[in-house]
Amino acid sequence: MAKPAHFEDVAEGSEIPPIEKSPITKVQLLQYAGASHDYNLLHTDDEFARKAGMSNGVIAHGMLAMAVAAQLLTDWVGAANVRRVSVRFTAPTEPGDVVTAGGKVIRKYQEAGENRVECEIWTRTQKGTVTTKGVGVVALPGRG
Amino acid sequence: MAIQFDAVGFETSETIHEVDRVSIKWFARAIGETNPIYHDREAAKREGFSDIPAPPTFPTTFRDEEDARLRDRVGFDFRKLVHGQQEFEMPRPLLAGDVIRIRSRVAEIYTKEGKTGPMIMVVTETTGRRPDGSVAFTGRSTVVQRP
Repeated sequence: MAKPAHFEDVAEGSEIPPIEKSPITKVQLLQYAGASHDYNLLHTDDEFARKAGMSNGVIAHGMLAMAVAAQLLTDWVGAANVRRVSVRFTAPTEPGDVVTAGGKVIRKYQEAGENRVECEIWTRTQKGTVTTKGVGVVALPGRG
Repeated sequence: MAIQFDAVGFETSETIHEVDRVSIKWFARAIGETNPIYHDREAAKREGFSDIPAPPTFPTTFRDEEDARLRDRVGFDFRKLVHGQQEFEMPRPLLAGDVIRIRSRVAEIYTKEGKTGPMIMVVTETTGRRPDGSVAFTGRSTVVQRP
């Protein structure tokens, strides 16, 4: 499905073009900690992470996976049109993981005077592990 | 310290955050966003923005001393915390230059039986308002304290 310019271009049940990100790196987790001010050592200190029960060491911030789920929507309809992103964190993402995001249109409706599109969204890693699962809502102008 | 169930209803004092271009640029870089609208004002203008927009999850960066006070009040143990759910809602994207007043509230604390014992779910709601009082974004976060 090409980038939809209008509400009428989107059909219920259709797929959102998936995106794939570069592998998560430990440096990226340090960058994300700094940029988001989330300094939980679970994401940056292997020893702390192991003591917290993560046998492979640090895991990515859940919010980093959510950011990819949000980018799925902004890439699809443009950054101006995203109204809601809501996810459940279902599994951790580890350094080296390649995160992909995908989604599907659930319903089209009117809300707050806008044409809105509700989508199912998810992220997963190259291992097939689903890391987030949720719902996105975007607004699109009508053709009329 | 154990989770304080009576923290429900606790509300932070309002704090003021200014959305700025540099913070957006570094946040975008950290999430692996290469779209030029997040660092190039001209590219943002070509897409119809009056200034650099923030990615949808950018409100997560609005952490401050009040947020720390809320976490202390709830009594989280950082070694046992996982982020369970997160939601952001916004009538339009935040832009560089926006000044947002933020307040968070502990909405709910409940227990759920997990595989290894009871898990405590703490739900926090955050509202960001513009100077005219209109809602800039709302956030709802569920943090899970594992046994």
